[in-house]
Amino acid sequence: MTPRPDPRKPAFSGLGALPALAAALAAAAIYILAASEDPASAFRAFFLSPFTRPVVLANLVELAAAPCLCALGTALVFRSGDFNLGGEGQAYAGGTAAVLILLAVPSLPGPAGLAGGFLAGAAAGAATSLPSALSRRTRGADVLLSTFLVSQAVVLALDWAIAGPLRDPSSNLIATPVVSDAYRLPRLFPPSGLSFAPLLAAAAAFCLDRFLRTSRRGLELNLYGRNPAFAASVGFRVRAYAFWPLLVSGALNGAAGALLALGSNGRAVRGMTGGIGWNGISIALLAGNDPRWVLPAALFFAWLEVGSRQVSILAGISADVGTVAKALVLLLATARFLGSRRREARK
Amino acid sequence: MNRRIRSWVAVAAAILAVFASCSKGGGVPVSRDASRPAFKGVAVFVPGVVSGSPIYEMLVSGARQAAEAVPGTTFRVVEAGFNQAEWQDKLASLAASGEFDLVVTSNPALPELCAKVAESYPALRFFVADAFLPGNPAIHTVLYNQLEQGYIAGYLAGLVTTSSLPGANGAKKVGMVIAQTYPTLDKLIRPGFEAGLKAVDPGISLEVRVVGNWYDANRSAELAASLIEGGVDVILPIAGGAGQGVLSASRERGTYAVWFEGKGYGLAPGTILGCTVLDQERLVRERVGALLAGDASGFGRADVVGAAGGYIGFDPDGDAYRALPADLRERFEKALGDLRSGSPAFPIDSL
Repeated sequence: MTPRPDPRKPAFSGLGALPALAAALAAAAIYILAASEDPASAFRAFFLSPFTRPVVLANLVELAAAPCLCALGTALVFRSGDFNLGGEGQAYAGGTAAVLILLAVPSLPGPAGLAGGFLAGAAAGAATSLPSALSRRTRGADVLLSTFLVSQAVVLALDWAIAGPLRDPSSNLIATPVVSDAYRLPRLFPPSGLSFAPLLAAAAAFCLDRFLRTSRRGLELNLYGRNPAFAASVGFRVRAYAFWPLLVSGALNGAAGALLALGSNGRAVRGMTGGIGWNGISIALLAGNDPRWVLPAALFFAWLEVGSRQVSILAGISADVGTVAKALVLLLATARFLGSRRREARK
Repeated sequence: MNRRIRSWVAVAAAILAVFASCSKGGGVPVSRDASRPAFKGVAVFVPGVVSGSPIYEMLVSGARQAAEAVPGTTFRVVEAGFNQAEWQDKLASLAASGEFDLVVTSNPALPELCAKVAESYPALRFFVADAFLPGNPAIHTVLYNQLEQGYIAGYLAGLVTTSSLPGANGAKKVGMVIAQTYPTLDKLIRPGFEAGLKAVDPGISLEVRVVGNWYDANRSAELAASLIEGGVDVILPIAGGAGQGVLSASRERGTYAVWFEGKGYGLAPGTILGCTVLDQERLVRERVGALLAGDASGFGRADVVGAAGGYIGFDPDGDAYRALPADLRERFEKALGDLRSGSPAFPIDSL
């Protein structure tokens, strides 16, 4: 008899991602060997230099925060059996909304304004995911497609708005005006950009993990995600589980966008999300959709990003090395995820 | 810890140990002598990519020449890509590396980002070409007087649209297809272009269309086609890669273009009738050379250079330009000479 899957656990373990990590690092190493005239210096720049200067290390930790929130949102929807491919638009909407709200009320006390900005960002992200969630709940529409389409529409609309009516006419950047300094994320370790954002991301990961592993609703959500028909047959509120995970995921993506906007730029810049939604999916897959592994996986991605910047700065190699490594992680993690799904389906 | 995890940790540790022991010394090739240059490391920060961008190729070439003239100076080119949202973080990463104390770059948007990074890294200095920011003691900017550059392009366009060339229709309508509006374009290039048109004939009208980005050649071709159908016979594209669409639409309809982004006759032979040029290589070589020689007087200053100094000019070495009627070229070259002599004058005090 096949053992029944434990609903507290994700479909596959985060530890199983080690081959993907090793392959990504191997790909980076091969890229560097092929591109560098001084591979030793380039290896040091990519693999070690992010850890040898405290400022660079602090920037690395900061860089992991926003993708971590996106990945948590993605993981939650994965656990409910759906796919949210709209992270990019949800984060973009969140970042832009946070800035617009704070530009509209420039004289609030700093912490209140910052909190308001995050709430506005989360609300905008949730609102962007709402059409997909509603259509899923009421008509059983394919979330995979609808989240992607809505996101793309939002990205195009915001690109236009930031270059047009929302644009700061005094700046040569395509960006909104800058919010008040009081609303910017306070830096904990200047001159690095480290703020409390990584703590926020860690807290979100902890809360999501506790919810999924210890609460009744979390266990029901896991079971629903693995077998909706069974969940419906035993009386779970399956229509709710087809709805609110998407909204929460949108809110987390929106909050991630707010982090981006209120960080170093302090405004919404066109294209500011820079693929964060897709990175969130990669990180979630790498972490096996397990919130406990999401922050380490986000830190690994941040290492790839900072390492590729460092190798570009210190060794003159294109920063594409990080992109290649991330692409490989996405490929292998997706293959592993699909494999685990097929095995579950067989069971 | 089970055996499998222990094995992975051991492998990772071994890999890191190998990297750490690969070689001695710093991560950047450094050659020092006793003369102690004013700056130990020069980084060229390219907000885009170098390849295919004449302005950035000249930036890199000029800075490289200046750095190579001072023994002991480390030189590096860092491409930041096209996403403006990432430029500030990448600039901060460059500063955080601690390997460079002079950043050389070029773009009107960069001074505000450099100023932010300078707040966190007060020892770092910046030279920004094609930009204007006075008063920041960490930053030296030099702006090309693009009123003059626009005037040159406008004067030639005006001569063409009022000529009896085969593609000129007598409607006296000239167009601009721009990627987006931005202060330098709104305050310098467009007014200069209009001034050039009006200097030829006050009755010439200008129509402007906006692509919305720097890459959509199909969209810019559509906009150019609609302008041409409306009677425009000369177009100035300021649209980066999207400018190709303007060239193809003009070529197909037998009308003309003037070019603003360096020597571009070869992009559309017979269609591009004239190219304005910036001598960015010389400017960067001179200014960075002076900074490396210890002349710090530029920091805090925003200079403007133009046609009088030879930093803005015109490339006459194109078959299409040489094929223009002699009297048209004569009038144009006289106007160019007058501009170099200060007539008309286009002073810039602020942006």
